[in-house]
Amino acid sequence: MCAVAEPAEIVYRVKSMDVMEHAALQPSPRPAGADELYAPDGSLQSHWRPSLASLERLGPDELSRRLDIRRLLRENGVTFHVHGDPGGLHRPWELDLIPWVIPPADWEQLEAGLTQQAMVLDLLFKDLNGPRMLLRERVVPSEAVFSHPGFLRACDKMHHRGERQLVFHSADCCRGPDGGFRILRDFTQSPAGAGYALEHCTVLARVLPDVFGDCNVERIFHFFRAMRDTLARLAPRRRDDPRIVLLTPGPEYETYFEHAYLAAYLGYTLVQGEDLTVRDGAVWLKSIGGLEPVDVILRRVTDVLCDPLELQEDSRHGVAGLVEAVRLQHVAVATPLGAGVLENPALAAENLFWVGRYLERATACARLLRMLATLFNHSDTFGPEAERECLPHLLQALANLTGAALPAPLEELAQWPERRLQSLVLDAHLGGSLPRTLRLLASNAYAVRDRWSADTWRVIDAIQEHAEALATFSPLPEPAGPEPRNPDPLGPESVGMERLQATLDLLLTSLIAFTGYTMESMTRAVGWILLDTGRRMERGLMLIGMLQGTLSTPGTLPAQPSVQPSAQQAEPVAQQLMKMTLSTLESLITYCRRYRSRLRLEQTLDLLLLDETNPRSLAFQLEQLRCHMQALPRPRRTSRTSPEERLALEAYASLKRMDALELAKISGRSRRHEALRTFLAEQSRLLAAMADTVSLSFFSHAGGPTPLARRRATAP
Amino acid sequence: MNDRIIHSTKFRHSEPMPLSHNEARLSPRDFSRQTCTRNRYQITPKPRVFRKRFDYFGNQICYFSIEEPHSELTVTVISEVLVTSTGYDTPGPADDIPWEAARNLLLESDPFDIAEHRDFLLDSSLITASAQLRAYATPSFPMGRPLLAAARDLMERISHDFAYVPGFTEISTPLEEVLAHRRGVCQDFAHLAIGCMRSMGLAARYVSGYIETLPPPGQEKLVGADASHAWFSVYVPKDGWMDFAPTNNQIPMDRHITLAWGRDYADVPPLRGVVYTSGSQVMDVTVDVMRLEG
Repeated sequence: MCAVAEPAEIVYRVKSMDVMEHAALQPSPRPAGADELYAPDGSLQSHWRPSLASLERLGPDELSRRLDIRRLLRENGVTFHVHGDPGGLHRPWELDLIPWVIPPADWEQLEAGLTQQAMVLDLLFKDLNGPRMLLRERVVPSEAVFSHPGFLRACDKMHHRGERQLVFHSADCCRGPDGGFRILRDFTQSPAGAGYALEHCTVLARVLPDVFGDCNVERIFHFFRAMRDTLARLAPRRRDDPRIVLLTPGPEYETYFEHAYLAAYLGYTLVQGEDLTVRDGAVWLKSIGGLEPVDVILRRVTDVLCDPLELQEDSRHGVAGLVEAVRLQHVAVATPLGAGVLENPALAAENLFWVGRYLERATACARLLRMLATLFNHSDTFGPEAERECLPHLLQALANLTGAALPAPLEELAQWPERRLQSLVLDAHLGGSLPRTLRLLASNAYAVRDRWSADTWRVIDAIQEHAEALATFSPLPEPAGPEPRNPDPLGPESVGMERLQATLDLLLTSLIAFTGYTMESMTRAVGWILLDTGRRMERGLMLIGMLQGTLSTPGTLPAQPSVQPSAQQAEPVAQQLMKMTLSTLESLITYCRRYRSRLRLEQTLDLLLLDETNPRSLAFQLEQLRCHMQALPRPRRTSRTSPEERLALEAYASLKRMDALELAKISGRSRRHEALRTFLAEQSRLLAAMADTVSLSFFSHAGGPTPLARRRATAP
Repeated sequence: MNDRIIHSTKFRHSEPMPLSHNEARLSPRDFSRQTCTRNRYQITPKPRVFRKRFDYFGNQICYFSIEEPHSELTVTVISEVLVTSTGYDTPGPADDIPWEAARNLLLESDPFDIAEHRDFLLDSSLITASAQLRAYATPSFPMGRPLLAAARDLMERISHDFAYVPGFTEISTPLEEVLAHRRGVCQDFAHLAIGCMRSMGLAARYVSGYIETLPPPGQEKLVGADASHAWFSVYVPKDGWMDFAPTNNQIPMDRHITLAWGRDYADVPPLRGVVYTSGSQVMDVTVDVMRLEG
């Protein structure tokens, strides 16, 4: 839509990160892809030479001086405002000083693709809000449209003048491994981006005029001139000098900056709903001098909020009577009311699913991390032996939970655990780290922001604050070599550990509050089912990862302590580890109340795996998943069981066949809990497969643009 | 049967309103068993804009705006309709189709004349299919029972199990609450029945209209005694729609006059408006249905 490289670049960065992150638990090798910078023979791509040469000419000192760009941006107010997001934790529009240079040939290809996509979406819009031939001819299943929240029956068959109805459209694009561009997602409701592109160009041209000039960058103002002309042509009358306003939901909304910036640049009046009124079937701007007629509204308010009379009646952002004024063709609205039907509604469902997963993943990691911090902080109560023996197991569990590879053998790790803690869990740049998971939780929660109440937003804000505190947590300087851990309980790292423990306490409280909200205040519609599905899958996977790290490893945990030769020695440690495992999995209290005895492995396993009444057990998760899989809507209900239902049933059946005594047995030859290991691996496989199948069935957008619904094969 | 309906709504506001935008669905629909022969709006104060059109569901809808300060608004609509006595939209041999067959036809048919009715199967703003509704509906749907017999049984059970108690519910009362307390008004019962049908995988819609009440024998009918009414309609694949009125436990015949239909009440409120005032408001509605001779 827009003849400038920056938006695509930024989007590319954001998206490629998310895509990799989503796969965090099942790390897959990064696909060998096209290289932006180097040709296959290792030489620098020619289109990069001018900009890199001018950057080189600037030299490091000058460059770092100019890297002060953020400050300049702040002064200009170029921020992507996000609710309670002081640190800009998930601000999607960061400005990288080093531009992504797209050569003219590539740009032409991208431009042609986007133009084509815009044409397709325009045709789709006209059909879905008109004759609906796509439904009649069964190209699109009718329920996909009927159940789409963006399908506005009140706006059916409304058209403004001119052939093209969908005059704006923005898209997230990325370059695929084959070097070709792909559209990841279309935005038709309130297409943001152009204002940021404009601002970024302006700032870059000011900060790096030399680099910018040497690149011979395509001029951006053509786009805005076309935009202005297009909007003027939509005016029902007075096309030579129409009054155009930009309707914004107001400064508390995340893209307000862009609205204000665009309106100022284009010379439009920036208005909110209350600034407009409908009289005599037309729209008027309330001004000091009286009412002034409005001809075109550049809309940045979600369409259902635009008219409390015919659309959502409690909306404070709209103008009563607006839909009728559009229907009477007394005013034109761009993008047209009803354009939301073109956006993929599955995305909200997907965001909710990931909110569920990240919420549970974050909670599990935070609990285990807190357990580790407690172990360090109270090493005197645990005893040095317990610490030495338990630590590798807990670290292994942590590696399992975060999906991070252990950078060194366990023995070495135990030598310098705080450093590992930091790299494993606290580094915000690392996939699977706790701050990273929290950041993804926030951005997914933000994407479905209309689901949360003001109270919930406060909780989400608090979670983000704690995430920031974690990301800056740095217990120690780099050691020179593999030194032993400082045993002094008052040493600097133990102070850090105490702070960590306190932060984790606060974080867990906020996470639990958020979980409570999802359980107590969300209606049990499809969105909630997917959120809880995500939660249950993740809780199951986290539980398995924990047990794989602690209880299923060799030697430490005798099922029958008396027959174990080293029982005298091993038992206290085994007890400790079981206790820590139960505590981390929030089941220690239950165990103690129920058994009132020393901890025994078969009872522990029974409580954690097989007990359906324990909301923390694997059995409980599988039972819930079985119900959710049945309750999820199908595009076409058939008598056949869906693949995800089948997986849920399989996992459940396999669990039901298990017996705690059997699981606690030690295999004679390997002296390991072979049955337990096999069982956990199998369950983990099934849960991961279930997660994949749910993703495939409900949010599939792989393989290029997916407008609304995939084409269905029709019988000959 | 030839009827005249006079539907009068009066709003009184404590503060004068400078502007109001309104939308009315007070024009009886034309369809197989009903013809509207007259429909006149009398609105005071006089609207600045008054325009009739048809909405997405084919109901006649009337937009009007009052653009002078007013603290009272009166909307009186006089309509005359000709109603025939059959409850069928399209008479046909529909009684025999088992409800499972109807469900499968609706879910699996590709032709759009059937598929388009899935709009009335999916959740709508006031009705969400649920396991509870399904559980309540299930006894009416034994294997192989004809669809219309099942719907009739459901209507009878609702009429038997639920008490008509005005004032207990409001428009936004969730169906779960109606189900739990077993009371409500005609709108709740219609919604409940629709929710039950949809939870069984069947398409059902909400019908707004009037019912002509009969005075006790030997007495004069009271003016304004009639009321806005609501019932539900069930889609029989290939044959059309069949109405059921759980509040009265009867198949609507010539005493039921249809105004509009949609997925639920939110699609067809008789009158709604947006005013800009801080004051409070009082609403008064009277409906009279008179049988005309000849």
